[in-house]
Amino acid sequence: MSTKDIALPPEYVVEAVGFGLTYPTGVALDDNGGVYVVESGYSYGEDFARPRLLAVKPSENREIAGGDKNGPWNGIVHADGVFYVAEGGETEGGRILKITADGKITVLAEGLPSRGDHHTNGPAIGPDGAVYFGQGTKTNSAVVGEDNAAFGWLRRHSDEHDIPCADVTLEGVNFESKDPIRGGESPVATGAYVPFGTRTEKGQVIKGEVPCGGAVLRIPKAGGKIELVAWGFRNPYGLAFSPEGKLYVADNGFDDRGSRPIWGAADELFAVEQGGWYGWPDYSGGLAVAQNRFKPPGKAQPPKLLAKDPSTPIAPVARFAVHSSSNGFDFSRSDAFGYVGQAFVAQFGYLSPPTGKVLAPVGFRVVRVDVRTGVIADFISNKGDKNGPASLLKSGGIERPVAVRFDKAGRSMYVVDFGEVTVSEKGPKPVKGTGILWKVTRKTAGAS
Amino acid sequence: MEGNPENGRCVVRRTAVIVALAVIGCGGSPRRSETVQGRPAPISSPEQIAGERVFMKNCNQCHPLGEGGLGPPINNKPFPAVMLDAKVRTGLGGDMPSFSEKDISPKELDQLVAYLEALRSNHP
Repeated sequence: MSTKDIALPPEYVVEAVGFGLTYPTGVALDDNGGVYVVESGYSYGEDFARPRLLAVKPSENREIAGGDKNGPWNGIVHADGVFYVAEGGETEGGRILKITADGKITVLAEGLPSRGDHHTNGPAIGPDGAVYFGQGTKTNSAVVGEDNAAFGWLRRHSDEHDIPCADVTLEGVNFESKDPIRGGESPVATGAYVPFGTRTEKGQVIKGEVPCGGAVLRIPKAGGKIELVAWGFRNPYGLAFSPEGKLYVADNGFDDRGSRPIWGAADELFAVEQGGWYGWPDYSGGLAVAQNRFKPPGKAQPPKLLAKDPSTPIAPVARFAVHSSSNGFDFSRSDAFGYVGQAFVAQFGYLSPPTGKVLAPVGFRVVRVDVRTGVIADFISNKGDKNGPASLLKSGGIERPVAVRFDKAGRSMYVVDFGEVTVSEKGPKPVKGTGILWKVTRKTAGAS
Repeated sequence: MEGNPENGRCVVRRTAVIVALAVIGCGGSPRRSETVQGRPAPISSPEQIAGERVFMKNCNQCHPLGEGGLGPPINNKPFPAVMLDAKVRTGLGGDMPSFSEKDISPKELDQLVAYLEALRSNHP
């Protein structure tokens, strides 16, 4: 590891303040400046570990609380002396946990529709005091297929399917695939929002439910009723409130995989409107996917799944690189750091080839976004004439940034680095103990 | 146009454009672009600033910050504006979609070109 291999604007400095982390996904700071990291307990490539909440110092990582095999623990926030953690729910369904400083765990919400490709994410505390969180969809584009067996969950939970947040009427399109559960050569037909191997008919209504997938939800801090905030997302991984109190979401866009692959779909930053619909599974960035520009080379053009749009899909405020995996982010709130009101977004980096091929590596950086204009600029990346993680570049820089958090004074920015994950045609291969917590500060205070 | 001395230059110019467009439209192994390393493109004119917004809305997802990604890098392509116009409007085959005047107006296309020229100037 070497900070000399990291590129960032000259008025900033970066240092490593946490080491040896296994699949970390979030960081929070308490009122005394104590630093805490969640290790997720899960990585794509299907490696299960123990999810943990750690107090992190350069010299040691001390366990505060731990979970079982229901990770990933996908994010953490500290408020009123306690921690709120999104338990991703790959095996038992998602949960929102409340964890005290001495490690006592209380379940605020459970049974969230995870157990698929994407999980329960966030959380963030709103101006109203509620706990807001994201719930990802189970599939890439609403159709269960062979790619979901490659993820691992389809063989565990063969009856899982996506759940809309309101009733939707289908066009009744069905997709043929091989059967990875039972094997054999006979093709199997699967429709949208139904279990694998189930056909649908034109005009068929899929009942909506709350909690549902592809949604932003909220729950009171003390627990209680889960409420829908907005839906039509795909994997709303990062949630953060701007200094003005507006909720934004970083959503991972479609992949070129599975029974209904979609090409060229950006990861997006959305401003969340109460009751808004954001387009999944039929729109990307406000554009209908049933058109040539989203047709994967050599594959069929994705057809429309819904006979009627729930409403006009809301367009993003910014469009990140396709397959960049733009994830956890936070807003700068202080002139001490600069760029007040801009979002700093961690880009985990592509997981190609299984998610779709690219010509050059994307992600592996932290970018900043002016949410007023949608303009994105580099902030942290690895030095050199090639983009990529440190392990690929044979350098000591960053691997896979996954989350960003400013301290409560707004002076320092913490970046959670998930660590090494290599990817081949067989899928991701994560490496335990390679996660790092970085801290970025400004050399001299002043507005930018 | 035969018998007109201008014909020869027309043919040569048209041929050069066609050849150049074919080269740009070609896939093949892309040359890696240098990372911006925290330096934003040196834009200052209203046209370049507006062009940056057009780029972010339409181009960034495949050519992130002008570098390679789903598409090839474009911050190191020495093409004139006429070639860029053709590439944006027609896609020139390959995998790049085309953008009609409804997607990117003629004024926005001029702004985009101004921005891309600034982006290229930031690339050694």
